[in-house]
Amino acid sequence: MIDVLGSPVYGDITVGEVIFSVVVMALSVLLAKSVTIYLRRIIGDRMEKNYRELILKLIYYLIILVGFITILPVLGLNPSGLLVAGGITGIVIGFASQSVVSNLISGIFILWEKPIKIGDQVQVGGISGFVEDINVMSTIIRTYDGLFVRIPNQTLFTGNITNYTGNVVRRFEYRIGIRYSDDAERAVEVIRKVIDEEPFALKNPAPAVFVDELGDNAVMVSVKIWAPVQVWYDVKMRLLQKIRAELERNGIEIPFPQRVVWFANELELKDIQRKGESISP
Amino acid sequence: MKYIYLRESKLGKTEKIISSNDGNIVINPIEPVNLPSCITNFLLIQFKKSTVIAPDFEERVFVKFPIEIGVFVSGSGDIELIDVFSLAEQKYTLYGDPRNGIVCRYWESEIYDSPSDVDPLREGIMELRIVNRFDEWVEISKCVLNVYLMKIFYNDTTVFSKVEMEVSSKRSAETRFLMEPLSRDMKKAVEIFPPRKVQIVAKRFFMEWGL
Repeated sequence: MIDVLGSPVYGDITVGEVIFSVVVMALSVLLAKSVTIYLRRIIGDRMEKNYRELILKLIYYLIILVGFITILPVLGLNPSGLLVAGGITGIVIGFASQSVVSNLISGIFILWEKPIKIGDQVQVGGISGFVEDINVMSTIIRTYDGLFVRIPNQTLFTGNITNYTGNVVRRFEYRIGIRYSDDAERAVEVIRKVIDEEPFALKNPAPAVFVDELGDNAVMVSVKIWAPVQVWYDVKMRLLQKIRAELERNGIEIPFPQRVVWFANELELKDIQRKGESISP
Repeated sequence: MKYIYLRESKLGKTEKIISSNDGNIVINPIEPVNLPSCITNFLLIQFKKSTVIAPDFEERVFVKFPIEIGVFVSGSGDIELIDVFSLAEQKYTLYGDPRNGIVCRYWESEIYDSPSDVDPLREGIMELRIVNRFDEWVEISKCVLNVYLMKIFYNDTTVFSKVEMEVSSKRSAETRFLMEPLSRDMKKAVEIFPPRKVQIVAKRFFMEWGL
């Protein structure tokens, strides 16, 4: 057994030393995982998820890096020599794997610039959803349909990012048509009352309710409401139904599309109708 | 042992099963930012009439603030909030701009010289000590408070909280809660944001987007 462990693998490096290195690396990974799990539990919700995950990732990779540097001399590799060789190798690898490096650099810039953070609702390159994770190479989006989408950081960094939750509040709008025969002022009053009763329809910036357009079939009332980003979609869904119900309760109806047709030869038509009535038994 | 907690009113119905051998139900006023759901920890009190304060002047006034009622179970270990309800109207507003501002629970109040009569199940009395440290006249129309570390005291007739507002310029001030009841018979309410559960314990809030 001792002979096996002492037998050389390459140069002066023995099987025992290789096994030792593997065990140290395995322990480093295990330790890194344990430490991050423990810290995640300790930190909990005390820190914003975005920063918490970034710090945990840094700690995770730092522990693994320490383990890796520890085994280098055991494997007969000189870390200082690696640094020199690393410079040249880095250039070679950089050219060979341009997109990988590009994603890496983009990832670092995204983490630094913070246009998005974990939990945000974003649209990137036509994909909308929640930011699940921001890694060094890619960003994970969970779409509203629950799909897992991995976006390379280079695409994310160079593309247009719409962060729906980047600000603390956001505005949404309804356009509600009422009949020409309805009292538009009364309709505005009714809508304002419904908005006032909704807690998350913000008092300031004040909601705007006004007659916006005299349309073909209806008087169009524009309703613009600000709500906190956390709940804006719930408010949007809830409020429209309440406005519709309250308008109907007050006798104000949303009209169907309609067109009034005037016949230029109305008299002739009446003559034809009269003749038809006299012919019929 | 299993118990049923049931609250039924026009506000809605809440039913929970409580499994415990011993324990108590505690009901008291809590920080008014939980309904309809907790999205902020700030309360903005809008004065119906703004007050103008002379340089280096100190004023003591009273305003009203909304009440939410919390139901807790307590026993061995921690205390746990199981239900919140309120008879006060709920409304929220933005203080500041949409990019950097904060969403606040909104409440309008007159300014009173002495504690006024209120329905203690709906409103509380807040003593507001306004100190103008600025060397010019300042007009104040609102007070924004971070309800983390809000101290609420209550007895059978009154719910009370005390706040200090230090004005530092025409557009900025600092607010903080003080640990002082209105009278000695008042009990301190159980807080739902005790310091150890709060991410960052900010003892003061800096009103930087206008008074």
